[in-house]
Amino acid sequence: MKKALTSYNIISGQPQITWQYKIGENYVSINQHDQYVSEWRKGDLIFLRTVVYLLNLGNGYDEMVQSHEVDLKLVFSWHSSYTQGGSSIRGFIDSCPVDLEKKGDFTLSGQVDGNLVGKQITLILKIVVASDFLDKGLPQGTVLWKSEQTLILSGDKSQFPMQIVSFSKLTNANRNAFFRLKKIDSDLDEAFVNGYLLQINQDNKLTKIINVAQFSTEEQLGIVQFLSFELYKSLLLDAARVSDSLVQYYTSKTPFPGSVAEAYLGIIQLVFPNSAGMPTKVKQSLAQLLSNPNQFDEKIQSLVFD
Amino acid sequence: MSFSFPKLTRSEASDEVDDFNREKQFNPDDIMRSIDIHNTTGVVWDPIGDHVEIDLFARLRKNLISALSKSQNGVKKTISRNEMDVCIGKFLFEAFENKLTPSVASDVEVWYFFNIRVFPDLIIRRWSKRETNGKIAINPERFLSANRNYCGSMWWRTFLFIEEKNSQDRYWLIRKLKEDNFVGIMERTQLRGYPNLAKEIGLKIAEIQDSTIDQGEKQLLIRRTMVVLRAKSLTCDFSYLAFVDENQPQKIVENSFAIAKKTLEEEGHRVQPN
Repeated sequence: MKKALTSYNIISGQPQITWQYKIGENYVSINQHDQYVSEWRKGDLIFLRTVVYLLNLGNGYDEMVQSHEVDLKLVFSWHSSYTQGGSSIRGFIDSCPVDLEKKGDFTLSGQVDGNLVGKQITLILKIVVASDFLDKGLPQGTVLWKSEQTLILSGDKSQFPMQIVSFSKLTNANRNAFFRLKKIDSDLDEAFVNGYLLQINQDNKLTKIINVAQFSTEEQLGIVQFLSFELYKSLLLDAARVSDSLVQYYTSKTPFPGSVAEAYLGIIQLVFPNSAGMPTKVKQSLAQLLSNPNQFDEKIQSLVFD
Repeated sequence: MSFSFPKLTRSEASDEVDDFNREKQFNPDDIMRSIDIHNTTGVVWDPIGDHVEIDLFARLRKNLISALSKSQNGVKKTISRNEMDVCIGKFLFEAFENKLTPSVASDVEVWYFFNIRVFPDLIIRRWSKRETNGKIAINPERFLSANRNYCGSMWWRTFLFIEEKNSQDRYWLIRKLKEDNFVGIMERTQLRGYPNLAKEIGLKIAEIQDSTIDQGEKQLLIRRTMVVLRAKSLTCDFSYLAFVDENQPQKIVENSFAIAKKTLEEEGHRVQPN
């Protein structure tokens, strides 16, 4: 994934920008590039807000704006790419004039229809020329500065693949179990959704009573939350089993978004927040996990249910 | 309200395409006989969202096959590849109404189900070649690639180029444009992503194709217009322009066309209609 920020010469240095999103009740700050949004479900509205602190423009633009030789706007927009080099959609969120007399914070906000976005959304903040200033060689829409931030929307609640199947027909499956997590691929580079499959047993009594395929969205959310506990546990135990190769991987490269390695590391970071980011500690955390299952259960439970 | 479509994982999809080759040598008749849309072995679902009924896919297949094999005056009509593309895009687009959103369509695993479980025989008929040794060959990309899988790319094509305002024929532009035009518009990094702009470019290309300019010069004019548009896109925020004025996408294309035409004329090309 390319580094997000691209600066043109109108602003020297890196201005202070705050990015926020809201899926549920409250805005959440976006603190890292490619931030993972696990609470998003396909179709959910995404509320977005950005605040940029602007004092001066470079290259003579300060004077030009103040004397109205050119009008500039801050423009907040989005882009969602569905396939590499293929289809995508872009859209406009909000804009405001760059009024340098009220120097300081400029806030832009709006919402994006969740039916239009794919597995990630890139937020783009730009300074553009508001109307034609052709004598200055600046047609309307000319981009003078740009900054980007990406959100990864393929959270485990929206993307974890599920299969309803009769366990009596499967080999190595407990025919009375409610579900199992089937590992398909052990490659740490493999996309997470290709690495695991959640299988629900259609012969199980509970499955028959609640009729999984006919769940309402709220019921589905409930069952997914219930299952998450066991899923997180299975994934961490898997991570523990491949700890050597995981640590090796972690020291050599950054996991790509949506990979099995990223899922492992994300969960380790949630369960052991003080050890993530340090490869040697990852191994220790996993050793701790295997040696102290009670504490692990508590941490996972608070992570999933609190 | 979100919908959960049946999907195949990448590994399942690859295995099934391998089976088409190994067990049936990509013979479309044999593959057609083996289609069982209601058999959901190996099918996966997102855990959230109302399941889209498998019956809908079976009905879609039946209706599409019927449309493709229409006869005229008792004589079976041979359908061109272009007509087949338009027909598949149209049926996919209309069959699921608001269920199949861009968000759902962005998931290639949804398209694996369409390509491999619902329409594998049609994809083979559309894209296969018979080699000198008599074997049928097809590029697996037509089933599996995120960009080039057949059903997915026909849906996106319809989504981007449908003319909702044209009550006579909403699909005329898709019928009119050539494969090269679609690839040029949809896969150029800076131009993709603005639905109205894609359509405006398509309309302009259709207009150039209908003009009386010499064929070679037409292609030159289309290519040069695309180059100017791409150059503009590097410095200009099209989404902002489209927001301040809904006619801007058309103006952007017209302006790029005018520049392309002027520069070609200056180079001595005859790009005026005869």
